[in-house]
Amino acid sequence: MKLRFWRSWSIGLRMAFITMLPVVFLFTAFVWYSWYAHRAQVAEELAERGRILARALAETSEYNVISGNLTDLRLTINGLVQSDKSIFRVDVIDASGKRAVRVTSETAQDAEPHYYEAPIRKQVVWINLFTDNGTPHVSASSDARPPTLTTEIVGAVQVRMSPSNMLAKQTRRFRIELAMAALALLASGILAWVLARSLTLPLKEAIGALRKIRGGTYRVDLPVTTGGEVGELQASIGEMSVALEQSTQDLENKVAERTRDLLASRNEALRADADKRKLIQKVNSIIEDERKTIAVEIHDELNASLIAVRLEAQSIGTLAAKAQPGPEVDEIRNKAQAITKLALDLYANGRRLVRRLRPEVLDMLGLHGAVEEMLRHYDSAGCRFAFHSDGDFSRLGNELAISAYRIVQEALSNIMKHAAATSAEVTLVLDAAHDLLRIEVEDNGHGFDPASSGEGIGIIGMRERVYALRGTIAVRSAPERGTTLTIALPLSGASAVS
Amino acid sequence: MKRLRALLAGLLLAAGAAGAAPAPTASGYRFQIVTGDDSSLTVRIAEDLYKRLVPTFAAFRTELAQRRRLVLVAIGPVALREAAARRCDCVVIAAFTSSQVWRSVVDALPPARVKSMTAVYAEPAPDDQVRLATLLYRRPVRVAAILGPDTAFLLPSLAGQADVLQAARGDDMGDVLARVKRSEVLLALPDSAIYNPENIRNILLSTYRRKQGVIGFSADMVKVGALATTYSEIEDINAQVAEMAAGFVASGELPAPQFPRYFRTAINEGVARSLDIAVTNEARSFARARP
Repeated sequence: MKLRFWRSWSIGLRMAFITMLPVVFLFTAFVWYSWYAHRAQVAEELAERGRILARALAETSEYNVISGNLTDLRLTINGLVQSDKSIFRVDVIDASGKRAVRVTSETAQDAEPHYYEAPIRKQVVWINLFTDNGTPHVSASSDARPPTLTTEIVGAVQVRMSPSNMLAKQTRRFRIELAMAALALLASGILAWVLARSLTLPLKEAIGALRKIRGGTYRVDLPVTTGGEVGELQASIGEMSVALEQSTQDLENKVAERTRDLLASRNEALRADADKRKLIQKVNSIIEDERKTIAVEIHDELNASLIAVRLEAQSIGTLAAKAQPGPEVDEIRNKAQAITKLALDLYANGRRLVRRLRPEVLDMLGLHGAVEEMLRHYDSAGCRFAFHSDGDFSRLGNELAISAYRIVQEALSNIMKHAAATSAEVTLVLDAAHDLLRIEVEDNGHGFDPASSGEGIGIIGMRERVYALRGTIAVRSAPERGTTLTIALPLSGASAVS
Repeated sequence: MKRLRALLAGLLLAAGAAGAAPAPTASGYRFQIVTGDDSSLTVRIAEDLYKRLVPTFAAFRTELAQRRRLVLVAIGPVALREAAARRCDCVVIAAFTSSQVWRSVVDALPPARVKSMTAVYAEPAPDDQVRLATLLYRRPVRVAAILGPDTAFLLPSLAGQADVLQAARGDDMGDVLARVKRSEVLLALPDSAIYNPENIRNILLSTYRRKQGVIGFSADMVKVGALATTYSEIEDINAQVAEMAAGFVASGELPAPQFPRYFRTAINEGVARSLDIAVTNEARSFARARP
């Protein structure tokens, strides 16, 4: 497991941590060692003093134990015990193991479990007693080495020490050391804080300057207040600030220049777009006018002539009926009937042509009625059409109505030609709130993939009409999922363009 | 051992002596130094003694030495016993042996044999010791002496000089010392029944506590805590032995056993200060130098 808890720390905290961690370790180690050393010192000193005391008392007790003068010994030991608070009790044991003297401290609180014992040896001093031991008797100082003499143990001194007094002294010393160490720790902490601050303050200023730069204020005032890497950083940020400001100024100049160019281009494009729209509108208008003119011509001239031809042919047939029957008369009557029928067919074709060139039904029934009529015309056994409408279509402009009519006409034509649909639904909604005419034509035909399939002439034509009217067109289709055509035309679009 | 035997052979040769072949009639003296061990101390004593005895015995012609009477000088107790045990027409001068040991040896000998023996005791003369005590205190002081069974013979020589207390072997020294507590000075004499390595320290401590000074019987004893003593160097004793031998050669008479004639003084200044004794130069220089 990787320790990453410090990754979110600030530099100041890291600096303080780096500075303080060894100090804290040192402080902890020192405090533990100091406490241990004081305790050990108490134990060692007690042991040493106990041993020395027992030994010294054993040395001095010899005469009293041998001579039986225990009163003096008790007085001596009592004076010692009462003057030294680290002594808890002193026992003097005689050669028979009986306790000859016991002196217990009046002030010592507790006794450590160990006691220190020293045997009381009868101290033997060798001198030449001029006995019959073989060596010449010389009363002058002899350089002869005295023989090793065995000593007799005549008792023992047992010293029991009390650690409380010494422990209290060592505790006082430990407290002083602890206070000094704590002061050193505090000083280290302050030093760490100052060091961290000396690093974080310039860094904060640098970060503030960078934030200003990020906020767009490239010209920042960041004086170099320190040396080393941080100073280099401050200097670099200052230089970067100047360079960025210069660069930004250049960029702004370029952007302004480019913006001016773009604005000019946009205006030009807008103008071109408006011109294009106007042109399309104009073309459509001209086409419609021309269609109207052609339709009027066909209606007024051609159809009138055809009516005249029909009437004339009927007259011929009447005359033939009145004439002598004969093969020629029958043929004339048949021809007249054929001409009449042909004239009627031509008339009907002319009527259809006129209707296509100039849907007068639009003038008579309005967009709603015209579309309804158109659907009735297209409705057949192969594909059933449904129509939904909403809104008051009477206030639609002529051009908008014609465009909408033509768009629906093209859409239905596409369904009939390509979709192989069994049902289709046309919806007309006049959205007065949004000042829009919404057209939706939906079928359940084959559909197509808009991404892979190229648009046909019909859709392109619809787009141009919609574009000219500043409307929007959307085609949603998928293979075997049918096609939905959604168009929104602004009610003021046609007039605005015109 | 080889060194000592060579020395003894040299001594006998130089003195023209041959102890193994006694002369039918005595017409002079020869000497023999008898030692009991071959320690460096004994060798030193013997060498010095030889130098001092040769002039005395050199007047006798070497070729007559076989018929001369033998003077045995015994160095130490062992040598004394060996010399005393010899069956010869010889006299014995014992040196470096305490009076107590001397007594124990001669008491076991026939009186006739004892007559041909004399000694220079090893321990200081009680008279000199008492005199030293007087010099130390700069006034006549009350001196006590504890005599055991083996040193009871000293009673006459101490009479009038010290309060003598006789103690038996095994008496409690605490009680014995308590009985002499009125004395200012305890005169210690070499008596193993009274003084031994185990109690000497406590005797010194007891007397010190009673403000009593102990006049010891050797310089070593002063080192371990006695107040003072007179003592004799090896050369002092040898000089006295030489004088004794010369007297015997001259007169044919052996003097009685005697304490050392030549001595000097050793004082434990620390003990003296503790006992509030201002040691005078007279005390420090109390001595009798050999000629």
